Amino acid sequence: MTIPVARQRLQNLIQVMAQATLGDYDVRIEGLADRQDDELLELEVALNILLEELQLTRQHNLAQRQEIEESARQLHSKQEDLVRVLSTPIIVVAKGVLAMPIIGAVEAERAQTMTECMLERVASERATHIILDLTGAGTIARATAQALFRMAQAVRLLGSQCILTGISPDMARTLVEIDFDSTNIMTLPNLAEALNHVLGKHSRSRRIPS
Amino acid sequence: MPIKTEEGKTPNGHLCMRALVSGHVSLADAEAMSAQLRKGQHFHGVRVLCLVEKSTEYSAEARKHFGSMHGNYLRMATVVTSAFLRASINFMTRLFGHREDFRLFNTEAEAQAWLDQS
Repeated sequence: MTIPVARQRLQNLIQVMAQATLGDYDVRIEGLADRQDDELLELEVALNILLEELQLTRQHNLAQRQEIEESARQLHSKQEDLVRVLSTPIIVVAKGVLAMPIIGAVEAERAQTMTECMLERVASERATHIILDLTGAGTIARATAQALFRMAQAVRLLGSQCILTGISPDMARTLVEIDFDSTNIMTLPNLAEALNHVLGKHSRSRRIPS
Repeated sequence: MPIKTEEGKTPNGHLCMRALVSGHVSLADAEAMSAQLRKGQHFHGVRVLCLVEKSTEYSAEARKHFGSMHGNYLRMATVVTSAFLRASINFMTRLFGHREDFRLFNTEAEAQAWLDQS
């Protein structure tokens, strides 16, 4: 069976399919509502319906993708918060006394986060002393040592005393190399000694003079 | 309302659902019509006569929903005078496979005669 079809209609059909192939699903075959009935009409209608479905699917996929991206952003943000909290554990060992064990390497970004967290807690707890325990810090680089020094200075400015504990011989050498000024920073061998020192001071300060 | 349904009778006195379709038919409109054909409803298993006006447009969701009516009517005769709509509805029926219980007509008289044949 042969179907007589105007060349222009076939060209239009092919043109619309070509545009759709390039990703343009907004394109349609126009003027179908006023057409006479013939075998090609259903093909033209079917193509328009198919393009509408493709457009809807694309919109749906885009909306889903945006939802997924937003969820990923929120998850990443929560993850960052969690890492921040876990990498800056600050313990209240007594009223006004905080301890922060430093574990692992301390690069610039972590040092900044630690300093921010520490200063926030010193201020909010009205801490008189903060003990930075370096037992788990391993080898520290010059940059880390400088970051620690800046942390201690910042705490001092808040009126709190910074005590460094757990300094290893290697760390001591590095601190000397950077001309670490320990004038206003106390150092003690370990956390226990630091606690004895601080808590001893606290109990003496509560004694009522006779 | 894009789909208005009412009770009717074929020339031989059989109960039928008459559906007058015009304007933009949404999924909700299609679902409202199919709900009336479900088991336990007044029009379940009857003959259905749809009269589709030239102004009718089906949403993408409504197009896909009409296939779910199959099995809930005895026969469905659809009268459509627009060539474009005839081509659209023909294509819609292809989405759900060829059906012996559905046919398109140019006039209501032809549609009624076919409904009475079953």
